[in-house]
Amino acid sequence: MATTIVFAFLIAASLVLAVMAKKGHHSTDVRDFFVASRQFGGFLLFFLSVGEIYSIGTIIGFPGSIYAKGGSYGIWYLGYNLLAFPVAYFLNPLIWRAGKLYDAVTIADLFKGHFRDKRGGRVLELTVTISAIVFLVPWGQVQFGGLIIALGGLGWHINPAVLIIFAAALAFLYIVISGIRAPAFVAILKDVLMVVAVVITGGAALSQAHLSNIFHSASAVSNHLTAPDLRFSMSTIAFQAIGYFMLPFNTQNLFTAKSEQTIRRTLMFMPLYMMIFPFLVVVAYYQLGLHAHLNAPTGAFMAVATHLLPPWVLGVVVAGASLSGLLVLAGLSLAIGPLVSRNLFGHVPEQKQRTAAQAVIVLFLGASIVMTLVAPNMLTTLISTAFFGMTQFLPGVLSIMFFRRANPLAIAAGIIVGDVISVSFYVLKVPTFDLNIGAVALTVNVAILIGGSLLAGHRQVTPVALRGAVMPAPGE
Amino acid sequence: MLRVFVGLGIPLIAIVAMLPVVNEVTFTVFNIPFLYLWMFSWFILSSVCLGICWLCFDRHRAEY
Repeated sequence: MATTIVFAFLIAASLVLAVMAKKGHHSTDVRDFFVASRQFGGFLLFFLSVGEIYSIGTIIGFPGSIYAKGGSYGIWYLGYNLLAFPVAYFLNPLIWRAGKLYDAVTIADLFKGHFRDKRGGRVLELTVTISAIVFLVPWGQVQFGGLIIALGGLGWHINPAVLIIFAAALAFLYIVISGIRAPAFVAILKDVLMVVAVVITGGAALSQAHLSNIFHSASAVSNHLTAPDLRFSMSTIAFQAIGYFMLPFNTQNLFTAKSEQTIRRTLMFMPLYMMIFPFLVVVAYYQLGLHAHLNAPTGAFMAVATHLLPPWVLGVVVAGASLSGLLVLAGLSLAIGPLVSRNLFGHVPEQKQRTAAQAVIVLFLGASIVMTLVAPNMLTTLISTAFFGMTQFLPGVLSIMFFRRANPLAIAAGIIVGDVISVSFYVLKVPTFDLNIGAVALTVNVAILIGGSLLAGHRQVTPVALRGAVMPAPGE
Repeated sequence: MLRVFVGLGIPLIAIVAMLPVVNEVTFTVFNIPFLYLWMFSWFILSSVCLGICWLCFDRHRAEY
């Protein structure tokens, strides 16, 4: 009971925050709704970014995967999350610059703007838009799968499908209230609660057993990477780190930044936020050391929390974990909205755009829910599946920055072939010498992009990185 | 070039290229496997690398 009361109070508080976020910003401009008129400074940008980067996949999925797959399995997850920031420090200011130049809200807008005068620009825009939406479904699935486990901590004993629909409704509510400003403000509460949840649960495990005992009693599990593990880990770290900011919601959050310098300043501190991971590793090893059998290995984090914490503290943990899932669902919906209204149906009247966007968001949430219920999978595996598709955008984005002769049709062909290879190799379990499937597909993608562009090569567009930084407009 | 090496090259070498080497180290603290100790320390060291980049190269860029 105490668990439910604390949980309900904190969720209510998050809704109040969402309402407050709207105050003073009554603009109905679509750009304000989706990228907050590019007004966010480092503080909000930091929280919005880490708020959506560290989703429920981190708090629930990461310890779950260590528990299920053994100690060293967590290494690739840490590695790609970490390496993403140094990559982003150099790449993101350029993406932001292109965004500013082309007045972009979505990642597809970058392609639309850059190739607007070229044949095939529209084809590329549609290719990016559709594959972005499709590969967001596993990301939605991660949130719903995690939410079922987190909300399970409330001990309500109700059908997971009901929990999921409840969660989807809440996520929808945040964005209806105030667009991207709601997730940014709620993110502050969510981040505080999530850190508290992780530290409390990790601390509880540490109070039960000395650190060295936790890692000793779990020592039956392998802490050594085999040669195939190494190939998988190294290729996955590299592949997912470079794809990090190709995730449409990450790109979109990036566009909320005030300036290139804001982005650099923010990214410098991002790796420090990862100090929550040691606590998650402790929780996973603690559960491993208990040698108790869990019906759902993914539930390792909540199993420890439920087992060790008093009811009201558990309420805080459930709220923290749930908010991290809800916030990301809100962010996903906010990423899909403009992909549909601007890129898919940019040519139809605004009223119809809005209806179409809402319909696709509902469709997306529905597809994620159905996939969660009929094809449950390890959360970390689902994360990797999303990257199979998302990282395929990177060669195209780099072309916008640096490649004068890039041809939009060649970029589109590369993305499509990359997606098809990733998915078919994954489904058919084609051996790739233990390398990340997406990385293998990416090499083919790059070959098609470069080969196709050089063969087609006619009119050229000046790459963004060679145009110099964008000066602020007067009065900005 | 030095800027990219400090900010991206060093973390890349540490996090990806060094993995096979780090994997062979059996040293532990409180029984925590060295692979984890290594990754944890790079949470801070990556930030330091980017901090150096910022202070030495990027701090004085115009505020666009």
